[in-house]
Amino acid sequence: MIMRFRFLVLTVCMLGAAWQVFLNDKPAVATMQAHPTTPMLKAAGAFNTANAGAQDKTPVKATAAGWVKLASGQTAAVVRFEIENGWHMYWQNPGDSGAPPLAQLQAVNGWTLLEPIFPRPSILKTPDDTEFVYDTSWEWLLPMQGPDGVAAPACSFDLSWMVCKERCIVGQARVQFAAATGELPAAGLARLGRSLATVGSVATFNIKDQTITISGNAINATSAASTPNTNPNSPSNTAPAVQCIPAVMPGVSLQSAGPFPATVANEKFTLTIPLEIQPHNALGKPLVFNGLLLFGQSSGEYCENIHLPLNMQVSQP
Amino acid sequence: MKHSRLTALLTGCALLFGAATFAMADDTKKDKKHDKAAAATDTKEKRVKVGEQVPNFSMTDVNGKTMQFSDFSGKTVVMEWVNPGCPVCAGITKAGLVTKMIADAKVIDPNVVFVMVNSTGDTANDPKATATYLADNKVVANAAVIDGSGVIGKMFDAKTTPAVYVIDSKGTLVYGGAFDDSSDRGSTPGKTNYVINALTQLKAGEKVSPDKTKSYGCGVKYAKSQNG
Repeated sequence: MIMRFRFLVLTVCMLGAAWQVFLNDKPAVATMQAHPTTPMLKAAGAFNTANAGAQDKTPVKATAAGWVKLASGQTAAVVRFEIENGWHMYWQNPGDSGAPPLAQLQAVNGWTLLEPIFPRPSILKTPDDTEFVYDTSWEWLLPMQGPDGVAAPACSFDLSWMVCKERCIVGQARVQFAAATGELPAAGLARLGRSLATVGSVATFNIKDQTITISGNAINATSAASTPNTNPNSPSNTAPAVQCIPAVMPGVSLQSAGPFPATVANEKFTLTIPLEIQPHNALGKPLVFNGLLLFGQSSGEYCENIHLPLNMQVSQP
Repeated sequence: MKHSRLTALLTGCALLFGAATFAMADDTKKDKKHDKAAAATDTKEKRVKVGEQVPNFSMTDVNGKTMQFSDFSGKTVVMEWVNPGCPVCAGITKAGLVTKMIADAKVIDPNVVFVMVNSTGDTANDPKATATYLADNKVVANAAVIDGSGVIGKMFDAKTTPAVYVIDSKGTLVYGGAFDDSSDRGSTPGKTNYVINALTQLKAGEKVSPDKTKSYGCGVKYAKSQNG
């Protein structure tokens, strides 16, 4: 009797194991079931209703990290994003997919939020996509414009962001800043190992036949770097690799999302990028080539803003 | 007696095991059928650009029914890439913006065809999830297509969900890109829905403008084994 019972148990176990093998052998369906959609849909719902409670649903923590003084003399609030390992947020141009964070200043008399400043992103390449991301904690600068000679007041920003791994989540939070007091630190150095782009000083530009050529002395970029060169492959006495990543440019099409690598020889770099200029797709905005020139591979190395107006007529939408 | 019980038990086990194996083989066959249908496209590696003719290709819908793009010949076709797991795609869908787009489009062109495509690798092989997502959100499209191999998505170079494409009645791709001009990833509707804009211009006999915008949203997340 016991033997028969043991045999029955063994048979049931074997059938159970076979059933498990059967289930696990269907990766597409099993994987789909393994990713619960409910939290994502909840996040999608939270995305449409502003409340700070959504923050704990994302692998991102946003905090107020004080005030800095920009080279322009303006004051910027610093938001620190701490990202869980494996997830990433997006630069102002996310690349093939994604979306940058958004900020909205809660009404403060006489003060407005200017264009946010993004530090140098990392480049995330997959076989299908290229994305410009922050895959470690980073700081986002929110410049404020207010009455002359008046320190930035206590204020709060409503933030929302997209953060992705195998899937994407939208999160949001309200961060509150105390009033700016005393001498503010300069914003020249990013505190989390990411450099801030400077206004062009190394590169020169030329545009001809819908091709932009960017050139310059690569070694100058090393000496212009405001942060130490941390790339072991580009010691300070050699020219670093140079590449360009484009910003979002309505009406200007590129062959790919980038990055576009430069040829570096004898400490000089040259970069040519074919453009397809389509004024009818400019959405009423001026045609401009915007981007970032990256020197070296590390996100802490020197980078430079590219802003080159393309003098063509833009059709109104 | 003991022997007969044992034989019966073993026969039962064998039958159960056989049934499981058969079901597994049948399921594998179904997956292969899906892939085969998607791979039956005439457009291997071909990427269609705005202004170009869209070649014929096969599609398999959420019910396993295979159809041809040429089945919609003579009609304007709107294709939207969807993913129930993408908060941006789900956001505009749950907000009723997709349903509104379809309703508005039918007023402009009652014969316009809407094809919803899921090319996402880890969900595309679960047709029910896409079907349920569309039904729950009252999205009534002419076809809901499962593109697990990503062949159709890559042909259109679809990068995000939601990305939309408009093909005119002559089979020319006339618009590709964003769903609308929302400044906050679709959280608040944009002023211009680019599909409606394109259909309005087509009806007026005008050139579609803009014909290309940068789409926003989550990456399509094509199946890893099919990358490249």
